[in-house]
Order: sequence, then C-alpha cells, then structure tokens
Amino acid sequence: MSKRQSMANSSKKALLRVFRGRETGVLMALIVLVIALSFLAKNFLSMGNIFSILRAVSFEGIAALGMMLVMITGGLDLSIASNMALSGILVSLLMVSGVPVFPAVLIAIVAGMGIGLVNGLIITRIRLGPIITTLGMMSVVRGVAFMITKGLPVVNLPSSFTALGQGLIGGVVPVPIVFFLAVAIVIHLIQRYTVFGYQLYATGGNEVASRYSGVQTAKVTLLTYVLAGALGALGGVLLIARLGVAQPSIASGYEMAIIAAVIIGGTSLNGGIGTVLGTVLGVLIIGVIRNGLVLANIGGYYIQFANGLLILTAVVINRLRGIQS
Amino acid sequence: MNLLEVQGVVKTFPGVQALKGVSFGVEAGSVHALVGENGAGKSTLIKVCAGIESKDDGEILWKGEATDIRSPLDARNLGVGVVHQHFPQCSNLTVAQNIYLSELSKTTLRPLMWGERNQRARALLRQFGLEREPDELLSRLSIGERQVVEICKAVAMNVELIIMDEPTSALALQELESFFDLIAKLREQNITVVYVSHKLDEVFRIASRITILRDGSNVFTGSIEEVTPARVATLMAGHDVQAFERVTPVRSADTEPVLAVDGFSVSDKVTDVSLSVYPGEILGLAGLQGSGASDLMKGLFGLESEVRGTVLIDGKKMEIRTPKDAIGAGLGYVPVDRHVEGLNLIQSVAENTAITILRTLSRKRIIQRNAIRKLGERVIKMLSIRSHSPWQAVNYLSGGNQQKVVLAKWLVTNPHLLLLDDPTRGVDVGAKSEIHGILRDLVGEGKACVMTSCELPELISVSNRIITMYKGRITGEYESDAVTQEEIMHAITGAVNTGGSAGNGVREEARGDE
Repeated sequence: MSKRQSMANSSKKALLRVFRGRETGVLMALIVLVIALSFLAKNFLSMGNIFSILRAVSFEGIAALGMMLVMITGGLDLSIASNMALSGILVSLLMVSGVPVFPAVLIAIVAGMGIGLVNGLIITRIRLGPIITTLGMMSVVRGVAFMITKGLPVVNLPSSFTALGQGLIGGVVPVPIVFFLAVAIVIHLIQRYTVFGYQLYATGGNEVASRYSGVQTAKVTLLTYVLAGALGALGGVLLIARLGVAQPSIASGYEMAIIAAVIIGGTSLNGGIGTVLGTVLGVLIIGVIRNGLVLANIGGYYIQFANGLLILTAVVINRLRGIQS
Repeated sequence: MNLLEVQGVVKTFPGVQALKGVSFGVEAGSVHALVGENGAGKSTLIKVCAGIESKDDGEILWKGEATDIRSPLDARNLGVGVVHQHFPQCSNLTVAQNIYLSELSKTTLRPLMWGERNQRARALLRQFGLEREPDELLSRLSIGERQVVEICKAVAMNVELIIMDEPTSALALQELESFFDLIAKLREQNITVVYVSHKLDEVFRIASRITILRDGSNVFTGSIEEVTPARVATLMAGHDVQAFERVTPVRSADTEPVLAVDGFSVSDKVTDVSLSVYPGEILGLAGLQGSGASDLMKGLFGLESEVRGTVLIDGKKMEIRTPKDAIGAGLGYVPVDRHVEGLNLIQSVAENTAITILRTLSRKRIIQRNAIRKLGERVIKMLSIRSHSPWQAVNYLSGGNQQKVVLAKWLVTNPHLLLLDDPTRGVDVGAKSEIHGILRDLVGEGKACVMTSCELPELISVSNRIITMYKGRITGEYESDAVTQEEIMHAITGAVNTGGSAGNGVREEARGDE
C-alpha cells in the first residue's frame, strides 16, 4: 500500500471514528437546539448572548470536568456543589480579613481538595458507596458554609478578585471562559496522554482487572475525588468572583445540573467511558436550554423539566447504543 | 532446582481453613498441573502466590530464596504472572492497552504514547498466533482471543512463571486446540506454567508434573507418569469414584415418548429439528458454541420468542410460550450459568428451591415459611447438599452444591423431562458424579433428561443416545455405546455431510434398530 493510500485510509478511519463517537450525537443535538432557539428567540445568536451563555456555564463546566473524572471511575460526587459554595465563602472570608487574592484562592482550592480527599478516603478505604458518602459530605460541607457565615452573605470583595469573574479579556472574552477552556484542555491532555489518564479508564472499565495488574486503583480513584474537589472549588471561587457576593446558599442544586451535563455528554454511569469534549458539549446543551428558554419567553419554570427530560433521553440513547454493540 | 517452592502455607478465612500447610515445588521449565476438587484450596493457593491474598503461615521460595509476595505488583516484579479463571479485563480499552496494564501500573502523570507500544503488542500477538490489531477494542474479541491477550499481558512483563487458573473453563471446544498450542509456545520460550484444573484429560495431555490438593492439603506431587487419571480422581475425591451406570430406557414401538419434537425452529439459531426422548432416557445433545443445542433447550422451555414447530409431551400437543407454560407442561430447565440464570445468590437454599413451587407452599397466597424450611431440609438431605442450614445463602456454597440447589428446585416440581444445559460445568469430580447419580435416579423413575456438556467424554458416558448439532441443524444420531469421541467431534464440527437428508438418514437408521 502506498503511503498516500494509507494516509487516506487512516484519515477515513479517523473520520469514521468521529461519526461513530458518542460526542457526535451530542454535537448534533446541540446544533439542532441552537438552530431551533435562534428562530424562537431574537437575540439568541448575538455575540453578546453567546459569550453570556459561555460565561454562565463556565462555573458548572469546570466542576463538571471534575465530576466526569469521578464518574469515569464509576463513582459520583454529590458534594461538588456544596464544595463550590464553601470554597466561595472561604475565599471571600479570607480576603475580607486581609489575605491577598492569590493566596486566598489557593487556600480555597486546597480546602476543596481536602473535601475531595475525605470523600476519596472514605470510599476507597472504608469502602462506603460513593453516593452515600458524598450525600453525607454534601450536607456537611453546606452546613459548614452556613456555620462560618452564620447564614449571612460576605460582601465587599476586592475588585482585583471580582475581575476573575466579571472581567473581559480584550474587552470581549469573559475571563471565566478562559479558565474553563484551560481546564478542559489540561484535563483532556491528562486523560489522553498520561499514564494516570490511561489508568483512569482501566479502573473504570474493570477495577478488579486493573488491581490484579498491579494498578493501585484505590489511589487512582482517590485522585479523581481530589481533582473533583479542586475543580469544584475553582468553579465556586470564579462563581463568587462573578457574583461579587458570597452567599452560603449559592450553587444549591447545581450537582444535578452538573451530573446531567456529564451524562448528556456521553459519560457512562458504569464508568470506563467519558471524554472532555463530550462533557463540554453536555454543559453547553444545558446552558443553551437554560438561556434559550428564558430568551424565548418560555420561562425559567420549564428549565428543570427540560433538564430532566434531557437526562432521561441521554441515558436511554446510551442504553440503546449499549444494546446495539 | 525448583523455580517456585511453597512450604507449609496456611491460610484461614473466617470459619474455614482453606490451606492447612501446603508444600510443593515447581521445576523450572515444567508444565505443572495443580488439581483438586472445588474447595480443595487451589484458588486460595494461587491467590497467595499472586499476592492477592496474604498467607497466615509458611514460606514461599523463589529460585531457592525466601520471598514475601504482598501484592500483585510484588509477584509481577519477581516474574510471576497469573491468568485468572474469569480473567478480568477492561473491555472498554484496546488490546494493547490491556496488554500493558501491568507495565503501566505506577500512577504518574508521565506522558504516554501508544505508537511504539502498539508495535510491540502486534509482534507479541502474532507470536501467539492471534491475528488481531493492537488498537482494536477488546470487546470485539472472543473469549478465546481474550485469553491469548491475557497471556500476552503476562509475557510482556517478562515473567518466568505463568499460573493459569482453570484456563479452559471459559473456552469453547473448538478453541481448545489452539490453547494447547499456546502452552507449547510458552514452553518453547522457557516459561514455566502452573496449570490449575480439574479436567483430567487436559491435565494428562499437557502437564509434565502434577500436584493433587485435597481439603487444603497436598496429597501427591510427582511426575505425571507416576499416576493414572483414575488414580488422580481417587486421590482428589479421597475415595473411589464410581463409573456411571446407565439406566436402560423404555423404548419399545408402542412407548409414548416423553418429548416428541417435530420441525422445531428457533429464529435463525435452530432449524427444523425433530427428535424424541423416551422414558428412562438421558439424551445427549452434542454441539459446539453456536450449534443451537442451548437455543433448542431455551426454545423448548419458552424462553425464545420466534419458535415454530410442534411439541408433544407425553403424547399431548403443547403450546409453550413462557417458562410458566413449560413448567405446567412438566418441563424443568437447568441453565448453563448458575450464577446468572440459575440462582438468587443472596437467598438461601430453601428459598431458591421453593421458587418453582411457591403455589403449593402457600395457603391463600400467604407463604408458609415453615413449609419452605421443611422443603429446604428435605432437599438438603435428599441431594446431600453441604449446607449447614436451609437458610444458608447459596452464595457461600461450593459450585457443586450450588448446582445441586439448581437441580433441587426443578426436582421438586416433579418434572417429566429435565432440560440440562451443561449441568456439571465448573463443578468438581465428586459433585459431578453426585449430579450424575441424581439424573440416573430421576430417569430410573421413568422420567427423561436432555443434556449438553462441554466435555464429550462425560456426555458419552452419561447419555444413552447422542444427537449431534451443527449450525442449528441435527447432523447425526448415535447410540452412546457404539460411538467414539472422534465420530462425534466430526459431526459437531461440520466435518461430515451436514445436508438435511444425511442427518435424517442417520436418524432413521437409528430408529430402525428399535
């Protein structure tokens, strides 16, 4: 076979792979949604609105990437939204009491990692189920957020901090989008091109096989919870920077939207399968629906309903795909 | 010198001493068979050697030096690879990614490129005769091919010793030969093999040395030439194993067959099958995977939707659409996979047995716990199931005893005909002959059985008559007394003329004998 032929062959293969991939369906769904909403809502496709959607999804999007890592190992992190809230509170309290922005953000992220570490240790050492463990943690962390603020919002955040959430790069691109994109690229590279990334899929695919092969699956799993903690915290910090006020009740219920986005993006609830691209697309679908329903005057009350329907559809499609193969 | 030497290894689990001081040595370059009944301690011993279980006492010597194998990683670093019975693999990954799972066991953020590894994996696959690409998804491979991948995985780690736990239990008959070739290739590469099995014909074919375990102790170690299969079976069981004595079926011209099937088809899996089973008869269905033998049974039992043809039971025409119909018609069905299809593992012996006759165990739709307990006690006694109470979860029983529970739940329905899909799969020699005894007692009462087995010698010795199937059709019919394993092998691999007329011809010939 000539080199050109083989190259044509391999590019054909790559193309086929794209069309067969789980992400393609998600992408199609996103495109259909965007087209439909562009007719229903006048301003939907304006540059301003597009950036506003992207910024709005960045916070949950960053957390969703952490959630995806956990879910690839077959786990789940229900505490991620509480983690977002606590880290937002933490960074605000630190700054209000005089700690400079950078160390404050760093401490908040480390705290998020700590929460992830505790989750991971309980799940891998004591072998409690991820759902029950993180359900407990969800309440504990949210409770701490209320306790340390006594339920009151933290205000007067420095503008050098709020710029992280409200600022525009070059006067156009909102800063959170850049964070989201950067995190997505880093996670993608880790998954695709590192030993850890490979072990992540191996552990999710068959934990026993991986353990018998010498992979320290407990360590791999633990790491995903720590990463989810870190990413949840980063998302939370940016969210507070965007809002300018830290309320202990912030991000309540976000875990459902985050899990929905990851599932819609094609990550398997059984573990072993999931990509950054899929998750980003899943996050975008949720963001687009949320934004579109409001712009099209259908109203915010339908958002939850639409999200729920979307999760069920995604799971059914994945199930059918599974039966087919 | 011995490559691996096990000295007085003891392992106790809560409530049971699995290993009571096992000692044996594995010579470098040998194929060393480790045999024993289920529960003899083979699996535990392997797990200790592989670093999956820790030992309570005793020593393991590697090349004459005492070592401490505490994890799969330690075992691998020494040069010990293990191919587990239900070798767990990551079917979401590619072939090469599975092969290098051991090599890449250290968790780091080190960059990982697959190009060169795929090349090496391909060379390895070809070496063991597997024409698959390293970047193919593992889920596309057959069980036999996956096993080759598992062995490549061990070889890729430069192991000197490969321990295989019942490697052929997952394989279809037609995959056996290539498996034996593979063992030969490992020997050429000077890799020592410890081969755990209870299939004695295989052991005598490939092993050079043998260790027999019984009840957590080693009762024999030596060259394979020093023993005979019969002697090994006796040593494994601890008592003489009786040869199977068949019941003579009633098959005169005016006997009503228990089951008469005419023109029976199951979607595209079984085509135009006609057969009869007579009182007192065990009919063997011989066929490779995909031959339709299993599907025929499922079809008869109402587990398949696209079924055509007529079914007469005791002379009466029956419409069987669901298992409920089948049970009503007097059929019972022992499925091939007891863990998935046969038992509720977390329920007790009594509860598992009761499920087929709940109606008779209830009064006004209220379940009589007492009746269930009595039923449990009765079957435990009747089939000598080793369970300390009727309420013991079947999870904790050995494979053979679990299978007896599956049999029990059908025997209590008092079936006219029992369909058994490989009823002795994965059970030890002792339990096997007990199960055969149960079947003999059943047909002795004028009932009948249709069974398959993945071991042809077993099928020939247990059944009165054998019908061979290939690609969904009957290819021949043989009296078990007058047939060789080779003839059947030919008929089930399509080596004989498989045209419908030839099959019918053979059948008519056999009928003519009556």
